[in-house]
Amino acid sequence: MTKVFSNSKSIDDKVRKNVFNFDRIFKWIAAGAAAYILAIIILMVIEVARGGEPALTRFGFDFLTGTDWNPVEGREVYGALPYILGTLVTAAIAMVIGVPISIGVAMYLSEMASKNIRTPLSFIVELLAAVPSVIYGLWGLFVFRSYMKDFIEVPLSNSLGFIPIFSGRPFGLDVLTAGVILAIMIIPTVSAVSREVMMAVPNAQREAAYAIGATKWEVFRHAVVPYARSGLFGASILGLGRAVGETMAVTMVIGNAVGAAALPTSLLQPGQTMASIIANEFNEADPFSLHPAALIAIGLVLFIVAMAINVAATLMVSRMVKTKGSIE
Amino acid sequence: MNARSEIYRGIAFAVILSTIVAMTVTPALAQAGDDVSIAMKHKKKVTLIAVKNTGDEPIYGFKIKFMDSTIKFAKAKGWDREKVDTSAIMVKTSDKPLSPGKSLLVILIVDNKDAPYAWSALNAAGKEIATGGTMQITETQPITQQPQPEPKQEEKTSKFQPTQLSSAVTLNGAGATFPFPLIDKWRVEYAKVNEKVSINYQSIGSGGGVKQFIAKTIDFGASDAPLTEDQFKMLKNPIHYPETIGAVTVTYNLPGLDGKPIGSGLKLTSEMVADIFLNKLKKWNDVRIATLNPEALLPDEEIIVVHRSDGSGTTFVFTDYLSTVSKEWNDKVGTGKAVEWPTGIGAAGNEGVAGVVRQTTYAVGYVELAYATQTGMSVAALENQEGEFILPSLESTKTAASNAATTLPKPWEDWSKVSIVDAPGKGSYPIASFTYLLLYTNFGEISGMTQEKGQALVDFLYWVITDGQRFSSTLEYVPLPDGVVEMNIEALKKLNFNGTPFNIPG
Repeated sequence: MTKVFSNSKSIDDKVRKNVFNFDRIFKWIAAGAAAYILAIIILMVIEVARGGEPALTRFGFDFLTGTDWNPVEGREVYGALPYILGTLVTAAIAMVIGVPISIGVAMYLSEMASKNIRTPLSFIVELLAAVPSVIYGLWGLFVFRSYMKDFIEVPLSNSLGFIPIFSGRPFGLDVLTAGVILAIMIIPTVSAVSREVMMAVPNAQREAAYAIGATKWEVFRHAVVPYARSGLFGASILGLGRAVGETMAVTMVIGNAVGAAALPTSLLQPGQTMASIIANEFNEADPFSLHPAALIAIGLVLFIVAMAINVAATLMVSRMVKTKGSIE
Repeated sequence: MNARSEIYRGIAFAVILSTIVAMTVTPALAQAGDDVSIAMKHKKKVTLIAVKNTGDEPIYGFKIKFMDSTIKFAKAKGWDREKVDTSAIMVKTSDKPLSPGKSLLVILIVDNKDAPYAWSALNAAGKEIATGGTMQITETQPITQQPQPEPKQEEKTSKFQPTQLSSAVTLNGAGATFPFPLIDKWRVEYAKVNEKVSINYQSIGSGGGVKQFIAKTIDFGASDAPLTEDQFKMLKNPIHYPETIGAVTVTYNLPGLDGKPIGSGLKLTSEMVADIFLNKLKKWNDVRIATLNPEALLPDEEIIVVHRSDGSGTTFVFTDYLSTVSKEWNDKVGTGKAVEWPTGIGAAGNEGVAGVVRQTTYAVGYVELAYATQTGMSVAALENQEGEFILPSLESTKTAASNAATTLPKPWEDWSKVSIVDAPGKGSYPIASFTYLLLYTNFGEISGMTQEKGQALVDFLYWVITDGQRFSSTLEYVPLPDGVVEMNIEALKKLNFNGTPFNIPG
């Protein structure tokens, strides 16, 4: 009797010991996986900073404010301002057009659509998010461009051409087209996430609003949006991240001007983004010049801009959760 | 139930398999089935001719003439037919030529299918490049095109004997993307000449090619631009070995006032080309263009400039031309693979520029000769030093290279200042450029080199500038003029492996 008891106790100990060991190993594996991400980011920053260092030390602050971009031997000057502005302007256009449409899509899917429509439509929206960007680019270059030109840009230029941002003769490959293509590209992502966020709003919220006689719009406006606000904001930032970093589609439709000609002074003129100039010029950049270093330095700036957007967004989301998390 | 579905699956599989076999083994016959049945329905006498292109040039048409018979109908898949007279017919295509090594089935309906006939193959320009003579035909008789190389080339072919190698060698090269299609063709063709030699060429761009050449990790580099003076001095007399010539065309998409596109041959002076790309000449009906081209119905529209967005040898050659002919361009922009364009839309690659120009009315851009020829775009006739307006073509580019060749340095001298844009002499097209293979005089400097491997490389280099040149024109590259070939052979004689020279074949 005692023998059996002591035996069972020792087995118990063994098992516990094993479990304990495995748990510790598992913890280290998980920590390693997390450390890997951190290590990648740190290495990336170090490597990009090191690669871009020759151009940054040579041009200093002028690299950020300069508008000339001249890789010709003996006349090398690199200024990234047109591309920084190009990135910000195209992303802004994408947000202005894309986010309201995305939230509209999400609202329809989560609040109004019947189950029969909701499931296939949600599936299609998610499917769109998986379309490779080069496809959007090709479609933009060969199809969408001429519609943009004939139905949007030419009327804009004819009626509002006196405003500087709509000046110049439109031909469809420009900052506006790039922004609209980006808007189309971020809609699936933003609307899919927004829909999830809205679906997560407890039904009690809606029912309470309906109970006091609210219309559909009022329910949406006063019961769903306040509850889902931080999530919707996060979804938009996800879209912004994509818009800032998108390379292939933008390169194909933005018109790829260089230097001062790329300053986005008019939406109907060709421009250039940070991602697109790297994609365009890195391949044949003369390894004996500062050209590759300047392009890598642009990569660093892009990295910092993307990081800044994300950090700012996180801060705003957390502040919003604190102050406006509940119903107004 | 299960067994039955197995059988169905078996049948389906057999059908698919036999279809695949039929399609791969006898593509022409399988595809032509419909046409034959139509012909049978009309109770005409049908004859089928399977033609295989055994030559080097793509065939754009066939002319078939019957001696004692009348042709009622002729057809080849995807080709147009044109009746010459009752006994002769032409089948031809403008965009789907019969490439070398491919077969095509020509279906003819004739009164007397046993009649003797003669046929000839035509190239893109409609010139006869091969004839089949007079012979009898029977159904589905294969006919092979007899290649008719020019006598001079045949002479060269017979001379070349590669050195026998004791083991297989791989020659590694890297660099420019522009000559890649031609070098790749050479890789394939040279394997037939000497199966022990395989060529490995990576088209990573001229800059990368030069970098690897300096690092001595490859056997030969390739670059569209010559080495700079500093690089040349650092490497102690490397050799520039021109292997082919490229030309850049100014192409446009310009509907005239009557709505019809203005075709090739719009005359532009070098100053006008520079001013267009400087955004100083802004309208198509500018008085300067209009005076020079009184016959063209020029529209009152802004010129839309299209340029390359990626770094490129094409841009280097084009900006070299603009810098040579325009002081203002030289001062403001300069020469480079990527420059600060004062105006215009950027598109990636020759195909990108060609695509944007074709889609954008009133656009002007620059593309390599091959792209302009293959896509049938309108190209400008540019003014050369003699005041002539020259259309870009293989001939006018070759003329430019020949005329410039007299002033070239020796291959082992400094080429950094060499440029054959705006070449002097009658008939020269002004935007042309050599593209170079880069070599060390002493192969011993390259890691992993041996005397035998060096000999294999010298053999290949010799073959490239002699027999290899006949592949140039089909791929729209300009063959080297004789002066440059001789100069290259001189350079081969300088090559050595730690002091031991190589045998020069031929």
